[in-house]
Amino acid sequence: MNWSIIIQEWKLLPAVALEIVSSPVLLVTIALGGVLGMTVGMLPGISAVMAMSLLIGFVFRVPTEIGLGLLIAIYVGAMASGGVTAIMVNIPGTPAAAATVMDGFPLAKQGRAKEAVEASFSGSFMGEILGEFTTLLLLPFIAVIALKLGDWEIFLVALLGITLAGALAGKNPLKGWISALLGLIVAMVGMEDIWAYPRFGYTPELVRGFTFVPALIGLFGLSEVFTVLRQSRPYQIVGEGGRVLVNFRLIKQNIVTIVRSVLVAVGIGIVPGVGESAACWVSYDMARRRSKRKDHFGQGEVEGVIAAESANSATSGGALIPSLVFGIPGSGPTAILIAGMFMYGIRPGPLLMIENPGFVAEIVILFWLAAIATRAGAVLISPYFIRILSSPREVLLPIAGALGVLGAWAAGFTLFDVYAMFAFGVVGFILRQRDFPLAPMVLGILVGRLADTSLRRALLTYSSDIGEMLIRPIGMVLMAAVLLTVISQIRAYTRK
Amino acid sequence: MSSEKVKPDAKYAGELLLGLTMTAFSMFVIVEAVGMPQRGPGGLLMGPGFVPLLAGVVLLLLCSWLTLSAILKGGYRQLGQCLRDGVADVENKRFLIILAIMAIYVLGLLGRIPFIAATVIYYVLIFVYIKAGSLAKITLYTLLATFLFAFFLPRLFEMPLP
Repeated sequence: MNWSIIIQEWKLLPAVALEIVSSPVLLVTIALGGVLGMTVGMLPGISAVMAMSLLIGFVFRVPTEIGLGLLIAIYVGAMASGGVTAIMVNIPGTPAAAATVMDGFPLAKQGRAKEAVEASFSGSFMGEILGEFTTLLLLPFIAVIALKLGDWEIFLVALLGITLAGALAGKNPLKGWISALLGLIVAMVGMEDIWAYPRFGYTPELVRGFTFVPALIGLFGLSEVFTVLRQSRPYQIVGEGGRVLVNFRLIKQNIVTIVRSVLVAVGIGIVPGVGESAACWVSYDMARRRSKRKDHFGQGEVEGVIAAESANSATSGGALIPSLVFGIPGSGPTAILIAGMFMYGIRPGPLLMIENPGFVAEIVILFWLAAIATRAGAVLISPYFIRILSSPREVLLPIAGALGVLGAWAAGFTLFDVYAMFAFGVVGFILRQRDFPLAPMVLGILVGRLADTSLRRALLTYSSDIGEMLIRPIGMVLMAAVLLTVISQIRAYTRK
Repeated sequence: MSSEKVKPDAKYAGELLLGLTMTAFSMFVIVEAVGMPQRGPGGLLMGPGFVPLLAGVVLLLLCSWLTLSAILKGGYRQLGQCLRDGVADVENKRFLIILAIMAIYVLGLLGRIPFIAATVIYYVLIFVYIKAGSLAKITLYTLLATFLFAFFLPRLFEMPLP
């Protein structure tokens, strides 16, 4: 093992940090990017990926560190504020905030919105700081392990995420798994990746398949609009307004949960495409299992919000590992970051640390500064966004309905996406009426393609001896985790 | 067993209906998946229909379980009453009207008239129906929301409009 390369980035960290903090333009850019990210993260349908992709043409015209700093700050800001929307209006601003809904929204309904938002910001702040720190420490080592993950293991990680989400998202695991499977089937619609066969492709639009953004807006956004407006007296979020600070008391009280969630999230974040959505569920589950107040989870437990938020923010660190070491994006935003790097002539890959010494350290510092800038910006603007989101729901929800239409349209500039959003909204409403959790369906849609392609590629690779595939050590551990989850949930359910 | 002991909750009737619908859907998925071409050395195992088939079969099992438990809990006895209550329910009527307003906006107006006009019509209809405030407030909400989401945001992100 070449130790000089492994410790190179650690040694360069102070010099890189000094260089960055001595650039006022870069600091202002990060602050603006953080505020912009928070704004887009809060608006359902206007995602971080969309804002980042629209800005990528602009960042090409500015220096590397400014452009990448802006993209990273938008990403971090959106990750932080995705939880705010999840808490206040039961609509995750980002897919990674889906688990935040579980306890964040009940807290807001109890009039503890400010506390929940503080928990969310504190958790995601620590997740960001510790996640990037862990990544910086482990990146050279984890890269070696990640190289050993084949398609079979990636499929199993996706399956574990779906199984856990189905089991955890509601009171009835049966309904959770049905919801997840419906999502998985939705993800199957369209041209598949191995044989280019158009599954369920009855119309040209269906051959393209459903994109994720309209499904998310429909299931979480429009179904909420229907659910609340159906009541003649829609409930109103009456959360206490005021400035939202990173609450160090909460951090101290939940430090074990935060550290555990960060470690889990970094580990899962390494797996391309799975991390952000699965990590928050896995961490949430671990927090629930280990909590003395496990019965309060799902009904408004601050620890649940902290576990989910620290995990989803820490995942960005894990997602950086395959992005920087292999050039494989760990998530949508990191895919845009990779595109930005290519535009600047930086080639993510195994030779990155040799060709660009200090670059990994620079990216980590930019993430840290973005985390700090976002929370500083949140102190200034939070009184306004809490007030905006606390507006009477009979005004807010019709507005959210039209915003959802605009967001679905923006996903691909096609009316089919708007129709799909509408259809998902109606399906989501019906499922909600019968206590089916919707978050597993969203996860199924998100990782369905990855699970499908990975499984069949693994089967093709091991077509001569499938037994060899089944005895791969990491795969066996993951299979055991999936089986244990299923068996324990079925036993618990049948005992009721 | 006396009839007093068996008081099937109306919710099981709803679960029965939904369970039957999803069972039918899972059968459709299975039939479609089986009809997909078999490719590669493993045939069905590596073909495009394998994962949909797998998902369809597991979904069928779970939906059958759901349906069966709804039947065992007496859901079938409440089916008629459940449907009658559903039709008469005030909140359901309210949902259907909101759904209709949304459908007019999404399916009827978008792409046929300018986006700003469609959005104004949608806001006026829904604000008036749900009684969001006085006429002045409704006008203000409509103008502000339309400006923000049908004019400002699309221009900020340089988006084409439907």
